[in-house]
Amino acid sequence: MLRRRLVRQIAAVVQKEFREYLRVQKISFGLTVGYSVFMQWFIVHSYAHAVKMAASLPESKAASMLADPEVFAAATAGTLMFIGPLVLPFFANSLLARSFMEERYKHVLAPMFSTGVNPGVVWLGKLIAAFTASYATMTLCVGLDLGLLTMYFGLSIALTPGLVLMALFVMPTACLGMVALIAYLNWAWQQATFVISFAMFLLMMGVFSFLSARPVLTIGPGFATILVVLSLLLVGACAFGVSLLSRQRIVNV
Amino acid sequence: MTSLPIELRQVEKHFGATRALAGIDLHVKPGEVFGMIGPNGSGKTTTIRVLLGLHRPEAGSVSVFGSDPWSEFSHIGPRLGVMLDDPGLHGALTATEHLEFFGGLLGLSRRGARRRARELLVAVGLTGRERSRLKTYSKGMQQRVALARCLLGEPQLLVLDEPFDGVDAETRRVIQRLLPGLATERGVATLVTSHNHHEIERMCDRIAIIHQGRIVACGETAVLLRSNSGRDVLVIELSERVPSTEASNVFPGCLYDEAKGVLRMDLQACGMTREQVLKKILDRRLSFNRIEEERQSLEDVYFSVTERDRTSC
Repeated sequence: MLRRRLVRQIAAVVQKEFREYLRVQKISFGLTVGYSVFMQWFIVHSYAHAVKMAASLPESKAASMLADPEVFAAATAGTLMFIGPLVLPFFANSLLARSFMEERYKHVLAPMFSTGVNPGVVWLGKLIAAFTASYATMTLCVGLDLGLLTMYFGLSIALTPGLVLMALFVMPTACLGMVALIAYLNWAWQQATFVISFAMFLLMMGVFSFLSARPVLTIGPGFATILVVLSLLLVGACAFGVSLLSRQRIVNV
Repeated sequence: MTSLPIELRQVEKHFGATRALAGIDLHVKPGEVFGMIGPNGSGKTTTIRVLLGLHRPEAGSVSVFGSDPWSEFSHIGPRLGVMLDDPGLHGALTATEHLEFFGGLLGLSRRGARRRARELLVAVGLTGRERSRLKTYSKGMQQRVALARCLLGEPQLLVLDEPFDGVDAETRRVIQRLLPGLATERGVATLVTSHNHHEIERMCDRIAIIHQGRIVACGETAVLLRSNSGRDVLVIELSERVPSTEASNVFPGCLYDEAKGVLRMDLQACGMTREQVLKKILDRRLSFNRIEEERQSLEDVYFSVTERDRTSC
């Protein structure tokens, strides 16, 4: 009974969020997709540049890889999984920040919470909706990455099941954990918007520097499992944390 | 604590140095329409927010159906219908979608929520506009949607903050038609705040006047109006016309409408009691059609009580 009630509450929030994405945010939604595409190009371009620079060094690993197209294709595909999913936290946080802010300033939260719904349930519904929309965009970006890498290096990249799993499950789950943490801050802390924007900027710069320094990356199954488990635990902890927050704090009255 | 729909005892709430509630005592019984009036900043909305668990009081106890709204609101929420001073609607959604969403939050199935939304939109007179987005609605129409929303879960307690604010006569009539019916037929308790004293006087069984965070007068509407007017005015309609000179001789200080034969006496101003007035009428063998106490409006009572409170402070 309680579970059915929870499912209905979450489903209602998810449906409402999607309706708002499609109606309120047509332009910003389109712009964000465009920005995501640009970001892919920017990072792939930087990556390609970093690889070429590294390859020019005598006896570098990159130079030996470039000599063997198959090895290079595999290594590039390994790096790919870090690029596409990067869109996810940016996109999801934009959607969530708008939703939180709009409901807070249009005084919708107080009537919503007066139904007795737990704030954690509303938060989770919003997170699911934002993640789903972002995941769809991310999938588009991963496809785009493949195209761009092929275009830059003239390679056809063979995607192994491990890589697909990494790009479409492990990394998005890790990003979900990050999004959940920021969404928690957004609800718990009224002045979080600036920090969130700044955190996203730092994140992007960090990943960019990381990829530039180590153009060839691989993640083993053990690390991937730990990453997924920790990320899901983080989501659960954030949802629990939100459910403990006072409604006064969230509504900001 | 009992399981009354609302029970507040000595509730205090401060915002910094400002004392918003200074020991509020209040209860609302099932099936009762309880009105709360007071000037801006007197503590009406804070009281409501305390009841909804959106503010935690620093002192006193708050009970809604026997539960503490701050810590146990998940039990209380489904039994409540809430309409706050701001309708708080999702402008991008249609009225039906908005109500379906709230139905989902209340745990209704999608089909059940849709059916209930349709019924309520008919009840509040929004048939034909249910597919328009809420941002295109007028203020009055938005208030109607908010009213429909607060009736969605078949609540046992309605909390309405300024429901008449900025609404047209038609919307006022919708509210007037729906609320007393819910109270008498289903025993729904209602707490309503408003600056529209006329509507409050018409609708409410009991009224509290709140001023500077305290309830300065509270009681059944008729009793409150009688006991707090600050004036006792008798209206006597004589069956035979008497000259105005005679009337002022017998009842010095009275107002006499010779054309209608109506005497209006402010007992305090005339320095007489009811008994003295009646004795004089009988002594003079004046025949009359009616004698009645003039009923003061809630507005008069409100000004009288708040002025008295201001002076005493």
